[in-house]
Amino acid sequence: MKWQRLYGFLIRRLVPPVSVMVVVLLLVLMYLVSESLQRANQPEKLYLALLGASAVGLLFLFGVVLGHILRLVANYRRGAPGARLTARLVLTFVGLTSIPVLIVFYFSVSFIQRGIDSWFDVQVEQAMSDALSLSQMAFDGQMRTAMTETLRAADQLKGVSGDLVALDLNSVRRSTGAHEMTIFGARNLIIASASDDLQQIVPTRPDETALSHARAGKDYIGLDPGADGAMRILVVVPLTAGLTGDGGGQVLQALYSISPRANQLSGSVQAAFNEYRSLIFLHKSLKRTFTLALTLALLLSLLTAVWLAFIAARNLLAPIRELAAGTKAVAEGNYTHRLPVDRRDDLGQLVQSFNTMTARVRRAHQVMQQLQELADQERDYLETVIQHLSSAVLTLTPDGRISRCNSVVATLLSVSPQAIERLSLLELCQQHPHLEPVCAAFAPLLAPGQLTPGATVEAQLKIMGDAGRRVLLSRAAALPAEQGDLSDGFVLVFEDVTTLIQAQRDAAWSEVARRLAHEIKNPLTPIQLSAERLRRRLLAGLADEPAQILDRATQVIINQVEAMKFMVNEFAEYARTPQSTPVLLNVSDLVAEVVDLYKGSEVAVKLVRLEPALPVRADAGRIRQVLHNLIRNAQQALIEQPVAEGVKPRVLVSTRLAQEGSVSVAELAVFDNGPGFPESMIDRMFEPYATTRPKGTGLGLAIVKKIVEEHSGLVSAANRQLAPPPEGAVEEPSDLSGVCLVTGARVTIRLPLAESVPELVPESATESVPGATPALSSEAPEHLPSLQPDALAEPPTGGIGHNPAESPEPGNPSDLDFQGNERHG
Amino acid sequence: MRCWKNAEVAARVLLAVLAFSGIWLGGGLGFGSGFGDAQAASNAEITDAHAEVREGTVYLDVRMAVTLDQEMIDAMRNAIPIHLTLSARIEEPRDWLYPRTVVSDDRRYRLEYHALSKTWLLTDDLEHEARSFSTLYGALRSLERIRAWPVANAQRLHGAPRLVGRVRLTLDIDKLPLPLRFPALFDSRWALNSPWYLWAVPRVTGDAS
Repeated sequence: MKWQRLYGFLIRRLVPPVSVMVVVLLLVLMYLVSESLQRANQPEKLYLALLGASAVGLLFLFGVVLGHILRLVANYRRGAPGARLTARLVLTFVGLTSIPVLIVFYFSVSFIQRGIDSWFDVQVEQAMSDALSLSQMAFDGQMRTAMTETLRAADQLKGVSGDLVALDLNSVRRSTGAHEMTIFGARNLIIASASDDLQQIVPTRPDETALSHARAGKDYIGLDPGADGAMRILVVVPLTAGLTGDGGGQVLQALYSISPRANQLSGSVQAAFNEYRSLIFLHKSLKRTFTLALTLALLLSLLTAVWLAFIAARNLLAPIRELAAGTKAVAEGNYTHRLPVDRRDDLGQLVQSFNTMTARVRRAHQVMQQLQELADQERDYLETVIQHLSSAVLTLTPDGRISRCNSVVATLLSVSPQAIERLSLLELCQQHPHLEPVCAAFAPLLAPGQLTPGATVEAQLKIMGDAGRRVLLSRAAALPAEQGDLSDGFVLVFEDVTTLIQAQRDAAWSEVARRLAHEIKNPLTPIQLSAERLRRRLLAGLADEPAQILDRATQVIINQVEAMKFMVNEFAEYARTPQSTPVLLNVSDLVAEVVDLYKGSEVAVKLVRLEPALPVRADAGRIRQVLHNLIRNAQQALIEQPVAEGVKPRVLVSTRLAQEGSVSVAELAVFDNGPGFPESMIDRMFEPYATTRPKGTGLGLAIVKKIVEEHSGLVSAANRQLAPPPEGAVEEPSDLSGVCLVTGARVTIRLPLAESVPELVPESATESVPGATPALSSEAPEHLPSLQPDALAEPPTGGIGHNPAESPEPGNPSDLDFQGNERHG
Repeated sequence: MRCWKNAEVAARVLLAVLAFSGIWLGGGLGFGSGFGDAQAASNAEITDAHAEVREGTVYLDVRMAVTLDQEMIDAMRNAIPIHLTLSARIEEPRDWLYPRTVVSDDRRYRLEYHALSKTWLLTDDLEHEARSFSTLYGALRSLERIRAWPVANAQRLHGAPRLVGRVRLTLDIDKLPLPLRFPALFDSRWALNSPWYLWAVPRVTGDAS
């Protein structure tokens, strides 16, 4: 990471300025190279140094460019933003620059080749050679003279003895006009020397070739260039037959000066000749060198062009790359990305626009999110409201499938909300037959076009649910569609009006009872008094026969008035709402007290206490009245409608703890083994005036119901069916053995416990307020058809009702829906 | 995809151009023009070097074997003089470091052809003496035997415990005409540089001076 950062720093910060310096340096070098080429031999070490520096500089540039290219290729492969555009731009720039440079390069090289070639001419070359030869020929005459003179001198010196030679040499030299004369002996030792130049001590040493030539007896003549450019004629001849014995080994060397003019002329000829020859020799190398210089310039141009192309592309594309990255970020959902605006050109405007766009998108997105949250809140709110409605709500898709429903559906329609998801209405009814009325009412409406959006269809349905018969006020409405005429689904709302209807009915009866009592009771007493007065005044004074008539008539009036009074009292009792004073009491003890009063009565009453302690908050007097009403009712029913032969009429009162859902309740039940309630009455058993007895007022059970409901309890009546006792039917078989309460009526009262009692009673016991022992299976009376278990769900009214009363409070505040657990084994 | 292909083609063209320039450059440098022609190569070698101290001066006698390639002879015949440098060093070897140079002396020679007189001239810069030879062989023979080259004052060597002398012959490329310099760097025909020849530095005693 650190190295990468350092590398990036170097690349970004150092390379561009260094590259600029290198390019400038290279340009200077190029200039110097070309200059040095023109000035031929002048700079010595500079040239190679320049070449080396150029090579290093070019390598550096090449490295920089290569780095750029490699990075570009890597970016290209990776698909980095802007890489393609960079590649195209670079290639365009390079193409634009390199093509003209290459063309110029090609023609420059050709011109150099041809230009250098054109310097040389065969004729000029020949002329040069000829000039040189001419110069040499110019010396020929002098050389012949020098040869002659030297040979003469040699002749003169032949006779001279070794010691005198040195003395004679100078005079001989002067006579010949030689510049210098030297005699070499054996092993090239100098024997004698004479020179014009007195300062020259050491004579010029001859060429060994010339010496060996002379020793072989041949004369040698040639030109000696000399050290200082002054040419001389060199003659070497053998000195044969000297005074010494070994004179044959001696040679004479003579040097003759050439006139300065001739020297100068020959020198210039040779200089020109040399120049020309060297040019000819060097022209290939020269061409190469020029080409090299041009190639260096070309490379410099190309590399610089490529490098500048990269830099230009980078600068051009920097905002585009940022834009691409920004767009990518926005596409990925990051709206906070802002690009720096540091230009004033078109790209700057583009970046500005991009920023504006991003900001707007961000704002729109925020608004959208807020709206979404609002919608979510609204939906949660509605959801909560709908879930807490007392009505069941079902929504259906346009093709009639259930899309959503609230939890009340479970209670009202007795179906699980989860189980009915995505079901069509018909499938729902097939799976849950008790919902058939719903289908009958609404299924046809769901066809397209049947229900216009906004329209509502109402229906009152009666369905049998888990909790018995329910009267549902149902509405179906089509949801308004967003587009078109077709509806966007439907909504079905079910409202439980069972208790409402019951309450209305009860209220109406209370009113009737009150008015009846009030209107009838007033005239009854005068009627009775009048009849008694008639009887008292007239009976004594009448003869037997009229007296008997009067006696019977008045007696009838008095009795009937008495009966009417009783009836009116009953109504009054029903309509009355005494101040109830609930106290905490054990309902089980209370029941025992009441049952004790019936000891020795005509029909035996037996108590079964399954739960000794049933704490209930209740008005003891009112509960007593309930029990009296029920027991008396049962006794009278048994008396009036005798049971089957051989069966002793009995009434059974039981108390126990029952389970109502998750709540425990106190349950009081009064059984008899009579024929039971007539089937036609069982629905209205607790309504006033519902009675099967000729003398009953039909108010007894109505009052019972009223009182029970005042205590937030629930009362139900049912006929027990002839069926084998279900398992766990604990109480009855053991306690009623021999009594055979196999069939008969049963009235059950459930009262809420004063304090929450843990679940003591097993589930089965709750469910089984059972039938009886199978012993008296023949006991089935004619009015005990096999009822559907749910058929008794609607609160029944007492079949043996008695008295009227006042308006009841429908339902119980605590709303333990006791009716739901009414079962008949 | 198409864009990528275009780019690839363009990149190849660019590379080809660069390679082409490189080849041209190589040709321009003179590579391949007789490069590696071992038989025709010039060669110089020090065969013997001997030093002695006389009258407070270290004199060096050197024998060499110099072979000139035809290319160099042609160059001289075309009026291009050849400058040779005979370098002598007396060094004191050091542990862990490069040797310290005690004495350094160069002796320059110029070998050229004199077209007018058709002779070969060997000029010794030290003696300011030009000797002419009628043959190149004679000139080389003269060059190959260097006698009594006063390399150093013996005083400078005094007290040094251990000295090593080195000598070699080099071609002075910087004195060549410019177009020849670069090829001469790489061309074996111009590779006249001899390896260093080590010679024993005579012991300089106290009374030597």
